[in-house]
Amino acid sequence: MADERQTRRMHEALDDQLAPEELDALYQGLDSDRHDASLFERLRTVDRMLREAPYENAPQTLALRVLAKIAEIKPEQLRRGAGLAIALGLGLVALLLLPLFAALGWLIIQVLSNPAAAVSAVISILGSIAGVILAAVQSVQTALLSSPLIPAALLGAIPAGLLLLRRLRGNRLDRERRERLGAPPKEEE
Amino acid sequence: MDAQETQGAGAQQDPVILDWVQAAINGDQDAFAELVYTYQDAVYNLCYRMLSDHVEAEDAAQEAFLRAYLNLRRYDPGRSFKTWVLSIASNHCIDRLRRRRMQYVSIDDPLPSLTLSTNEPEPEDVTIFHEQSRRIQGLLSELAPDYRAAIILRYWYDYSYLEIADILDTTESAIKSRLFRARQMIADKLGDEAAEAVLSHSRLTQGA
Repeated sequence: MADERQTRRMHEALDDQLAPEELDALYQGLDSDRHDASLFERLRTVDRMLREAPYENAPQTLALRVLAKIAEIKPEQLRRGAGLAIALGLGLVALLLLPLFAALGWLIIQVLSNPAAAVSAVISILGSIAGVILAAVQSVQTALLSSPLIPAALLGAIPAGLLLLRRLRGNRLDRERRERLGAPPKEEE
Repeated sequence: MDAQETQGAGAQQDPVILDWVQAAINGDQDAFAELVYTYQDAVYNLCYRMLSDHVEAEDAAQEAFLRAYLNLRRYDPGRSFKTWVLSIASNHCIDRLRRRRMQYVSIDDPLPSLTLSTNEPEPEDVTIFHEQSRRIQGLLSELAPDYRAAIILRYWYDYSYLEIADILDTTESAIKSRLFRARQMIADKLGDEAAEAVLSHSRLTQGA
Protein backbone atom coordinates (compact mmCIF):
# COMPACT_ATOMS: atom_id res chain seq x y z
CA MET A 1 0.00 0.00 0.00
CA ALA A 2 1.42 3.38 -1.03
CA ASP A 3 2.12 5.69 1.88
CA GLU A 4 1.28 9.38 1.66
CA ARG A 5 4.88 10.39 0.97
CA GLN A 6 5.23 7.92 -1.88
CA THR A 7 1.91 9.02 -3.43
CA ARG A 8 3.01 12.64 -3.17
CA ARG A 9 6.23 11.77 -4.93
CA MET A 10 4.27 10.12 -7.74
CA HIS A 11 2.27 13.29 -8.32
CA GLU A 12 5.37 15.46 -8.12
CA ALA A 13 7.07 13.20 -10.67
CA LEU A 14 4.16 13.72 -13.05
CA ASP A 15 4.48 17.49 -12.61
CA ASP A 16 8.28 17.35 -13.21
CA GLN A 17 8.91 18.57 -9.68
CA LEU A 18 11.29 15.81 -8.57
CA ALA A 19 15.08 15.97 -8.62
CA PRO A 20 16.79 13.10 -10.55
CA GLU A 21 17.85 11.33 -7.33
CA GLU A 22 14.29 11.56 -5.92
CA LEU A 23 12.97 10.18 -9.19
CA ASP A 24 15.40 7.25 -8.94
CA ALA A 25 14.23 6.59 -5.38
CA LEU A 26 10.61 6.62 -6.57
CA TYR A 27 11.29 4.14 -9.37
CA GLN A 28 13.20 1.85 -7.01
CA GLY A 29 10.22 1.87 -4.67
CA LEU A 30 7.86 1.08 -7.56
CA ASP A 31 10.03 -1.86 -8.65
CA SER A 32 9.57 -3.50 -5.26
CA ASP A 33 5.83 -2.81 -4.82
CA ARG A 34 3.31 -3.98 -7.43
CA HIS A 35 0.45 -2.06 -5.85
CA ASP A 36 2.40 1.20 -5.97
CA ALA A 37 3.45 0.48 -9.54
CA SER A 38 -0.19 -0.07 -10.53
CA LEU A 39 -1.27 3.16 -8.84
CA PHE A 40 1.51 5.11 -10.54
CA GLU A 41 0.53 3.62 -13.91
CA ARG A 42 -3.06 4.76 -13.42
CA LEU A 43 -1.96 8.26 -12.39
CA ARG A 44 0.33 8.41 -15.40
CA THR A 45 -2.56 7.43 -17.67
CA VAL A 46 -4.70 10.22 -16.23
CA ASP A 47 -1.83 12.65 -16.66
CA ARG A 48 -1.31 11.57 -20.27
CA MET A 49 -5.01 11.69 -21.02
CA LEU A 50 -5.28 15.23 -19.70
CA ARG A 51 -2.15 16.35 -21.54
CA GLU A 52 -3.60 15.05 -24.81
CA ALA A 53 -7.03 16.55 -24.17
CA PRO A 54 -8.43 18.55 -27.05
CA TYR A 55 -8.74 22.31 -26.88
CA GLU A 56 -12.21 23.70 -27.48
CA ASN A 57 -12.17 26.69 -29.80
CA ALA A 58 -14.61 29.52 -29.27
CA PRO A 59 -17.60 29.68 -31.60
CA GLN A 60 -17.44 32.54 -34.09
CA THR A 61 -20.45 34.16 -32.46
CA LEU A 62 -18.63 34.77 -29.16
CA ALA A 63 -16.50 37.73 -30.23
CA LEU A 64 -19.45 39.29 -32.07
CA ARG A 65 -21.65 38.95 -29.00
CA VAL A 66 -19.01 40.47 -26.72
CA LEU A 67 -18.38 43.37 -29.07
CA ALA A 68 -22.10 44.05 -29.48
CA LYS A 69 -22.49 44.23 -25.70
CA ILE A 70 -19.49 46.51 -25.37
CA ALA A 71 -20.83 48.82 -28.05
CA GLU A 72 -23.85 49.39 -25.80
CA ILE A 73 -21.65 50.59 -22.95
CA LYS A 74 -21.23 54.35 -22.72
CA PRO A 75 -17.75 55.78 -21.94
CA GLU A 76 -19.15 57.49 -18.82
CA GLN A 77 -20.03 54.07 -17.41
CA LEU A 78 -16.36 53.13 -17.54
CA ARG A 79 -15.21 56.27 -15.76
CA ARG A 80 -18.03 56.42 -13.21
CA GLY A 81 -16.85 53.48 -11.14
CA ALA A 82 -13.31 54.74 -10.59
CA GLY A 83 -14.40 58.39 -10.07
CA LEU A 84 -17.01 57.48 -7.48
CA ALA A 85 -14.59 55.26 -5.55
CA ILE A 86 -11.95 58.02 -5.37
CA ALA A 87 -14.52 60.64 -4.32
CA LEU A 88 -15.91 58.37 -1.59
CA GLY A 89 -12.43 57.51 -0.33
CA LEU A 90 -11.37 61.15 -0.13
CA GLY A 91 -14.64 62.12 1.57
CA LEU A 92 -14.19 59.41 4.19
CA VAL A 93 -10.59 60.44 4.93
CA ALA A 94 -11.62 64.11 5.26
CA LEU A 95 -14.46 63.16 7.61
CA LEU A 96 -12.12 61.15 9.83
CA LEU A 97 -9.43 63.82 9.92
CA LEU A 98 -11.73 66.80 10.53
CA PRO A 99 -12.15 66.43 14.33
CA LEU A 100 -8.45 65.73 14.69
CA PHE A 101 -7.47 68.90 12.82
CA ALA A 102 -10.04 70.96 14.77
CA ALA A 103 -8.64 69.76 18.11
CA LEU A 104 -5.07 70.36 16.95
CA GLY A 105 -5.94 73.90 15.80
CA TRP A 106 -7.62 74.72 19.09
CA LEU A 107 -4.61 73.43 21.02
CA ILE A 108 -2.13 75.47 18.95
CA ILE A 109 -4.15 78.67 19.44
CA GLN A 110 -4.39 78.04 23.18
CA VAL A 111 -0.68 77.35 23.52
CA LEU A 112 0.23 80.50 21.58
CA SER A 113 -2.12 82.76 23.56
CA ASN A 114 -1.63 81.39 27.08
CA PRO A 115 0.66 78.34 27.51
CA ALA A 116 -0.10 77.82 31.21
CA ALA A 117 -3.86 77.94 30.68
CA ALA A 118 -3.56 75.54 27.70
CA VAL A 119 -1.65 72.98 29.76
CA SER A 120 -4.15 73.22 32.61
CA ALA A 121 -7.05 72.90 30.10
CA VAL A 122 -5.52 69.74 28.58
CA ILE A 123 -4.97 68.27 32.07
CA SER A 124 -8.52 69.16 33.03
CA ILE A 125 -9.94 67.51 29.86
CA LEU A 126 -7.87 64.37 30.45
CA GLY A 127 -9.05 64.35 34.08
CA SER A 128 -12.67 64.59 32.96
CA ILE A 129 -12.20 61.69 30.51
CA ALA A 130 -10.57 59.59 33.24
CA GLY A 131 -13.46 60.44 35.57
CA VAL A 132 -16.05 59.33 33.01
CA ILE A 133 -14.20 56.03 32.40
CA LEU A 134 -13.90 55.43 36.16
CA ALA A 135 -17.62 56.08 36.68
CA ALA A 136 -18.49 53.71 33.82
CA VAL A 137 -16.27 50.95 35.24
CA GLN A 138 -17.82 51.40 38.70
CA SER A 139 -21.38 51.20 37.33
CA VAL A 140 -20.50 48.05 35.37
CA GLN A 141 -18.98 46.50 38.52
CA THR A 142 -22.13 47.28 40.46
CA ALA A 143 -24.34 45.79 37.76
CA LEU A 144 -22.25 42.63 37.56
CA LEU A 145 -22.39 42.10 41.30
CA SER A 146 -26.16 42.66 41.44
CA SER A 147 -27.07 39.54 39.40
CA PRO A 148 -25.11 36.37 38.49
CA LEU A 149 -26.98 36.17 35.16
CA ILE A 150 -25.21 39.20 33.71
CA PRO A 151 -21.65 37.78 33.95
CA ALA A 152 -22.93 34.47 32.51
CA ALA A 153 -24.61 36.25 29.59
CA LEU A 154 -21.44 38.28 28.94
CA LEU A 155 -19.35 35.12 29.00
CA GLY A 156 -21.68 33.55 26.46
CA ALA A 157 -21.49 36.63 24.25
CA ILE A 158 -17.71 36.28 23.81
CA PRO A 159 -17.74 33.24 21.47
CA ALA A 160 -20.77 34.65 19.63
CA GLY A 161 -18.93 37.94 19.14
CA LEU A 162 -15.81 36.14 17.92
CA LEU A 163 -17.87 34.16 15.40
CA LEU A 164 -19.53 37.34 14.17
CA LEU A 165 -16.16 39.09 13.77
CA ARG A 166 -14.76 36.12 11.89
CA ARG A 167 -17.73 36.08 9.53
CA LEU A 168 -17.52 39.82 8.94
CA ARG A 169 -13.81 39.52 8.21
CA GLY A 170 -14.45 36.61 5.81
CA ASN A 171 -17.08 38.65 3.95
CA ARG A 172 -14.70 41.61 3.70
CA LEU A 173 -11.86 39.45 2.34
CA ASP A 174 -14.24 37.83 -0.15
CA ARG A 175 -15.45 41.26 -1.29
CA GLU A 176 -11.87 42.51 -1.67
CA ARG A 177 -10.93 39.44 -3.69
CA ARG A 178 -13.92 39.91 -5.97
CA GLU A 179 -13.14 43.58 -6.45
CA ARG A 180 -9.54 42.76 -7.30
CA LEU A 181 -10.66 40.22 -9.88
CA GLY A 182 -13.30 42.50 -11.30
CA ALA A 183 -16.18 40.27 -10.24
CA PRO A 184 -19.47 41.76 -9.03
CA PRO A 185 -20.56 41.39 -5.38
CA LYS A 186 -21.77 37.92 -4.44
CA GLU A 187 -25.46 37.41 -5.01
CA GLU A 188 -27.54 36.21 -2.09
CA GLU A 189 -29.11 32.85 -2.91
CA MET B 1 -3.42 21.72 -29.06
CA ASP B 2 -2.19 24.66 -31.11
CA ALA B 3 -3.92 27.32 -29.11
CA GLN B 4 -2.40 25.90 -25.95
CA GLU B 5 1.08 26.09 -27.37
CA THR B 6 0.77 29.55 -28.82
CA GLN B 7 -0.84 30.92 -25.69
CA GLY B 8 1.34 29.16 -23.14
CA ALA B 9 1.84 30.54 -19.66
CA GLY B 10 4.81 32.34 -18.25
CA ALA B 11 5.59 34.38 -21.37
CA GLN B 12 6.65 38.01 -21.06
CA GLN B 13 3.81 40.45 -21.49
CA ASP B 14 3.64 41.41 -25.16
CA PRO B 15 3.95 45.22 -25.66
CA VAL B 16 1.27 45.03 -28.36
CA ILE B 17 -1.15 43.60 -25.78
CA LEU B 18 -0.29 46.41 -23.37
CA ASP B 19 -0.90 48.96 -26.13
CA TRP B 20 -4.30 47.43 -26.83
CA VAL B 21 -5.16 47.48 -23.12
CA GLN B 22 -4.14 51.13 -22.83
CA ALA B 23 -6.08 52.06 -25.96
CA ALA B 24 -9.14 50.17 -24.68
CA ILE B 25 -8.91 52.05 -21.36
CA ASN B 26 -8.95 55.25 -23.40
CA GLY B 27 -12.19 54.15 -25.02
CA ASP B 28 -10.91 52.45 -28.18
CA GLN B 29 -13.32 49.54 -28.64
CA ASP B 30 -11.43 48.21 -31.65
CA ALA B 31 -8.40 47.69 -29.39
CA PHE B 32 -10.54 45.69 -26.98
CA ALA B 33 -11.87 43.70 -29.95
CA GLU B 34 -8.27 42.69 -30.70
CA LEU B 35 -7.93 41.46 -27.11
CA VAL B 36 -11.16 39.48 -27.45
CA TYR B 37 -10.01 37.85 -30.70
CA THR B 38 -6.64 37.00 -29.15
CA TYR B 39 -7.98 35.39 -25.98
CA GLN B 40 -11.45 34.14 -26.92
CA ASP B 41 -10.31 30.54 -27.43
CA ALA B 42 -8.45 30.46 -24.11
CA VAL B 43 -11.39 31.93 -22.19
CA TYR B 44 -13.98 29.81 -23.98
CA ASN B 45 -12.06 26.56 -23.49
CA LEU B 46 -11.73 27.30 -19.77
CA CYS B 47 -15.46 28.04 -19.47
CA TYR B 48 -16.43 24.95 -21.44
CA ARG B 49 -14.15 22.69 -19.39
CA MET B 50 -15.55 24.17 -16.18
CA LEU B 51 -19.23 24.15 -17.13
CA SER B 52 -19.49 21.19 -19.55
CA ASP B 53 -22.05 23.00 -21.66
CA HIS B 54 -21.37 24.93 -24.84
CA VAL B 55 -24.21 27.41 -24.51
CA GLU B 56 -23.42 28.17 -20.89
CA ALA B 57 -19.72 28.36 -21.69
CA GLU B 58 -20.38 31.00 -24.34
CA ASP B 59 -22.47 33.03 -21.89
CA ALA B 60 -19.78 32.74 -19.21
CA ALA B 61 -17.01 33.72 -21.62
CA GLN B 62 -19.02 36.74 -22.75
CA GLU B 63 -19.57 37.75 -19.13
CA ALA B 64 -15.86 37.36 -18.35
CA PHE B 65 -14.89 39.66 -21.22
CA LEU B 66 -17.51 42.22 -20.22
CA ARG B 67 -16.24 42.25 -16.65
CA ALA B 68 -12.70 42.60 -17.93
CA TYR B 69 -13.76 45.55 -20.09
CA LEU B 70 -15.60 47.29 -17.25
CA ASN B 71 -12.64 46.79 -14.90
CA LEU B 72 -9.77 47.51 -17.28
CA ARG B 73 -8.55 50.33 -15.04
CA ARG B 74 -7.93 47.80 -12.27
CA TYR B 75 -5.72 45.67 -14.50
CA ASP B 76 -2.10 45.61 -13.33
CA PRO B 77 0.17 45.87 -16.42
CA GLY B 78 2.84 43.95 -14.51
CA ARG B 79 0.65 40.87 -14.72
CA SER B 80 -0.17 38.87 -17.83
CA PHE B 81 -3.45 40.02 -19.39
CA LYS B 82 -4.29 36.43 -20.24
CA THR B 83 -3.81 35.38 -16.60
CA TRP B 84 -6.00 38.27 -15.48
CA VAL B 85 -8.85 37.52 -17.84
CA LEU B 86 -8.63 33.79 -17.08
CA SER B 87 -8.84 34.53 -13.36
CA ILE B 88 -12.03 36.53 -13.99
CA ALA B 89 -13.42 33.67 -16.09
CA SER B 90 -12.49 30.91 -13.65
CA ASN B 91 -13.95 32.74 -10.65
CA HIS B 92 -17.11 33.46 -12.61
CA CYS B 93 -17.41 29.77 -13.57
CA ILE B 94 -16.82 28.65 -9.97
CA ASP B 95 -19.64 31.00 -8.88
CA ARG B 96 -21.91 29.61 -11.59
CA LEU B 97 -21.18 26.05 -10.53
CA ARG B 98 -21.82 26.84 -6.89
CA ARG B 99 -25.13 28.40 -7.86
CA ARG B 100 -25.96 25.27 -9.77
CA ARG B 101 -25.38 23.48 -6.45
CA MET B 102 -23.09 20.88 -7.86
CA GLN B 103 -25.24 18.95 -10.30
CA TYR B 104 -22.95 16.05 -10.95
CA VAL B 105 -22.91 14.62 -14.47
CA SER B 106 -22.37 10.91 -14.85
CA ILE B 107 -19.49 9.74 -17.02
CA ASP B 108 -21.97 7.69 -19.01
CA ASP B 109 -24.31 10.60 -19.73
CA PRO B 110 -24.13 11.88 -23.30
CA LEU B 111 -22.83 15.43 -23.56
CA PRO B 112 -24.08 18.08 -25.98
CA SER B 113 -22.57 18.07 -29.45
CA LEU B 114 -19.21 19.78 -29.86
CA THR B 115 -18.51 22.94 -31.77
CA LEU B 116 -15.49 22.33 -33.94
CA SER B 117 -13.12 24.79 -35.53
CA THR B 118 -13.67 25.89 -39.11
CA ASN B 119 -10.98 23.51 -40.46
CA GLU B 120 -12.96 20.52 -41.73
CA PRO B 121 -11.38 17.44 -40.07
CA GLU B 122 -11.66 13.86 -41.31
CA PRO B 123 -14.70 11.93 -39.95
CA GLU B 124 -12.46 9.50 -38.04
CA ASP B 125 -10.61 12.39 -36.39
CA VAL B 126 -13.95 13.91 -35.42
CA THR B 127 -15.02 10.65 -33.77
CA ILE B 128 -11.77 10.38 -31.80
CA PHE B 129 -11.99 14.04 -30.84
CA HIS B 130 -15.59 13.64 -29.68
CA GLU B 131 -14.83 10.47 -27.76
CA GLN B 132 -11.78 11.86 -25.99
CA SER B 133 -13.42 15.17 -25.23
CA ARG B 134 -16.53 13.42 -23.90
CA ARG B 135 -14.58 11.07 -21.66
CA ILE B 136 -12.44 13.83 -20.20
CA GLN B 137 -15.38 16.15 -19.73
CA GLY B 138 -17.27 13.43 -17.91
CA LEU B 139 -14.39 12.89 -15.54
CA LEU B 140 -13.90 16.62 -14.96
CA SER B 141 -17.57 17.10 -14.21
CA GLU B 142 -17.24 14.78 -11.23
CA LEU B 143 -14.78 17.11 -9.53
CA ALA B 144 -15.62 19.98 -7.18
CA PRO B 145 -15.32 23.42 -8.89
CA ASP B 146 -12.06 24.38 -7.12
CA TYR B 147 -10.40 21.09 -8.05
CA ARG B 148 -11.70 21.29 -11.61
CA ALA B 149 -10.30 24.80 -12.07
CA ALA B 150 -6.87 23.70 -10.80
CA ILE B 151 -6.75 20.74 -13.19
CA ILE B 152 -7.88 22.82 -16.19
CA LEU B 153 -5.37 25.59 -15.54
CA ARG B 154 -2.58 23.03 -15.10
CA TYR B 155 -3.27 20.85 -18.13
CA TRP B 156 -4.86 23.13 -20.71
CA TYR B 157 -2.86 26.26 -19.91
CA ASP B 158 0.36 24.78 -18.56
CA TYR B 159 0.39 27.14 -15.57
CA SER B 160 2.71 26.44 -12.67
CA TYR B 161 1.43 25.80 -9.13
CA LEU B 162 2.26 29.40 -8.23
CA GLU B 163 0.46 30.87 -11.24
CA ILE B 164 -2.64 28.79 -10.54
CA ALA B 165 -2.53 29.92 -6.91
CA ASP B 166 -2.41 33.51 -8.11
CA ILE B 167 -5.35 33.01 -10.48
CA LEU B 168 -7.50 31.22 -7.89
CA ASP B 169 -6.35 33.49 -5.07
CA THR B 170 -5.02 30.79 -2.79
CA THR B 171 -1.69 29.30 -1.70
CA GLU B 172 0.71 27.16 -3.69
CA SER B 173 0.36 24.29 -1.22
CA ALA B 174 -3.44 24.40 -1.53
CA ILE B 175 -3.11 24.13 -5.30
CA LYS B 176 -0.71 21.19 -5.02
CA SER B 177 -3.11 19.46 -2.71
CA ARG B 178 -6.09 20.13 -5.03
CA LEU B 179 -4.20 18.90 -8.08
CA PHE B 180 -2.99 15.73 -6.38
CA ARG B 181 -6.42 14.91 -5.00
CA ALA B 182 -8.16 15.68 -8.28
CA ARG B 183 -5.77 13.45 -10.21
CA GLN B 184 -6.23 10.72 -7.65
CA MET B 185 -10.01 11.02 -7.88
CA ILE B 186 -9.94 10.79 -11.68
CA ALA B 187 -7.63 7.75 -11.47
CA ASP B 188 -9.99 6.09 -9.00
CA LYS B 189 -13.00 6.80 -11.25
CA LEU B 190 -11.19 5.56 -14.29
CA GLY B 191 -10.27 2.23 -12.71
CA ASP B 192 -7.63 -0.20 -13.93
CA GLU B 193 -9.48 -1.61 -16.95
CA ALA B 194 -10.56 1.76 -18.30
CA ALA B 195 -7.03 3.10 -17.76
CA GLU B 196 -5.62 0.23 -19.80
CA ALA B 197 -8.19 0.85 -22.54
CA VAL B 198 -7.33 4.54 -22.64
CA LEU B 199 -3.64 3.74 -22.78
CA SER B 200 -4.12 1.24 -25.64
CA HIS B 201 -6.31 3.71 -27.50
CA SER B 202 -3.72 6.43 -27.03
CA ARG B 203 -0.94 4.14 -28.31
CA LEU B 204 -3.03 3.19 -31.33
CA THR B 205 -3.85 6.76 -32.25
CA GLN B 206 -0.20 7.77 -31.84
CA GLY B 207 0.97 4.82 -33.96
CA ALA B 208 -1.55 5.54 -36.73
